[in-house]
Amino acid sequence: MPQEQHSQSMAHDEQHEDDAAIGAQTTHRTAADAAIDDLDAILDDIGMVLETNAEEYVSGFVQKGGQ
Amino acid sequence: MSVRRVVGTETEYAVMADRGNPVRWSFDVISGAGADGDARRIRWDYRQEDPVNDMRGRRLERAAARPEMLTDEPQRQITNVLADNGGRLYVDHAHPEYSSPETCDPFTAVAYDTAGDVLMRRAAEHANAEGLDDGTLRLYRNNVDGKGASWGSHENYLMRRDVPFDATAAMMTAHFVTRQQYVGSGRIGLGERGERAGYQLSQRADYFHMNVALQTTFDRPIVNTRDEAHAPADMRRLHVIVGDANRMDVPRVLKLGTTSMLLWTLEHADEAGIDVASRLEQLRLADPVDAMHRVSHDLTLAEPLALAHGGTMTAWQIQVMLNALVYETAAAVHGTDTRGEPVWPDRETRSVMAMWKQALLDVAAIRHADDGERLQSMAEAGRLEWLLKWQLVERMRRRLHPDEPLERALADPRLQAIDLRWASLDESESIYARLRGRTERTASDDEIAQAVDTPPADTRAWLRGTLVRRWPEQLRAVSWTHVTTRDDADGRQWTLDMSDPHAFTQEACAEVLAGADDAWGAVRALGATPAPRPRDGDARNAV
Repeated sequence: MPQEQHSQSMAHDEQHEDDAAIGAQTTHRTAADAAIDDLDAILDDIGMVLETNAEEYVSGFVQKGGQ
Repeated sequence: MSVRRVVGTETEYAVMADRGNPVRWSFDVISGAGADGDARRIRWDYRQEDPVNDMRGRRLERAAARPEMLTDEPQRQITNVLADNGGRLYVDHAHPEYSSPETCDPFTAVAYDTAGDVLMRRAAEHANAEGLDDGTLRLYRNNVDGKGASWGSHENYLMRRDVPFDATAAMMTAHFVTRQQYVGSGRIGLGERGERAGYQLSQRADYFHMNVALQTTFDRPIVNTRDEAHAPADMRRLHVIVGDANRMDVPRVLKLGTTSMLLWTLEHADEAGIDVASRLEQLRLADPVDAMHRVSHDLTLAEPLALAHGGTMTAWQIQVMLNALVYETAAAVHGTDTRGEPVWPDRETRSVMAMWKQALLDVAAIRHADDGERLQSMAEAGRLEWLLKWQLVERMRRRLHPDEPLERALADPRLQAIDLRWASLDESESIYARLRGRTERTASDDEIAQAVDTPPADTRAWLRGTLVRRWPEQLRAVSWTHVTTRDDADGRQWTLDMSDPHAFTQEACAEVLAGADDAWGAVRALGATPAPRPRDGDARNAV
């Protein structure tokens, strides 16, 4: 397949994906919202653990170089 | 070959504890790996290592090499543990390292790469159970400490030696600079010491300062020329040092899969009637090192890169061109089906090409999305590791510093800690472990468990792993290409030459192994010869 043609088909697919995404927007939103709640739950956990020792945790991580 | 070629990975882990130093902690982890049995008594045989052999057809004088380049003259106390899966755990400089066994496709390679996490975690648990002076050993799979140090995760590809080196270097430079957009694991901090605030696509990019060179620990080159094939003379090994230690599966399959397909293209361009050198000349970057840093720092995914012959292209456009070159070569070599798709020779190749296309679509979609939309891009974040990590960092910023830009908010160690906890191998504190179920997996938990205990069936690693599992007490030394026994009843040692990675597979050896009573009988039946006696005081043999 010539390069130009392939690049065009890539661009075409991108457009197609966009259209599909718009069509499925409603279902997408619901799933995305659920996923964000999920991320928020993880952030709650991280927040609690890190509130106390984040600075020490980050500054104490010191390595020697490798390959 | 296709995407099916001999590949293997090497991962250096970061290790932390409460007291002591990283060198000591690394030795303690590896001691834990051998806690179970006789495998720790088997020596690694360095006689076949040749770290100063340069792919460009010359050799570095040993006297001119920096000490850390001479990996075949290790410190005496180094510990090696041969794993039942045919891989190896050892101390490299100040890091515990896992080398996977040789595998024949990117999907199997990623299962064995992940097996390294399990083996390393198990080793640290054993060591911790002993009650060390260090305190508790903790492992991380990442590449930077944010204070200036970087360590590697390497890919190895067996490729045909008759491909001109210049074409390989040109192709790999274009690829390694631009593939970061879909294989980067994400990093908080810009510059080697994180001296500037910001988020970037890749862990490793800022540590590369040359285009092509032999060394791996200083002035690191985008294309590393260490040529140590561990294979027959018509093949060589491409040793790739630019990659991140990804946690997610998809970026790791893509690293190995896309690079393999581009090597295949170099190997078959002549046959396809394609002048690959002139095609690559069109993609030659004006300043590859600068471009490497730029692509990694560019969250817009759209920055133009200056080309050597004038004009610019974005990283995405260069990837599209490289992908098209593979299609064009494959269409000529394999023919096309009724839809114009090349007739890919095997399932793994078909899958990799579909995944590569998806990666280019993902990058395009994210390029056009604003931050709000990027936070909602679930499917893409299941494949792009840097995006999933960014989503967490950005959500945390909105929560803790809603009125500050990300660059300023990143001064908060609570945000910085996300990067580190992403990398932690401790399942109870690892953020990645919490998110694994939302990412696209290419290897199941069962496949990974099997890769921990069983060698790949279709390379010489099958024989190595099987011998190590059955008769570790009868083996004196092992390398990628040889196995040497201890003294037999007559005081003779036997060496089996396994230079061909495609030989000594399960199919070729299972019958002999089933009928053998001991390692001596097995290797002699497979063609071993009496080993030369080791010379006293030979440092290269003293480990």
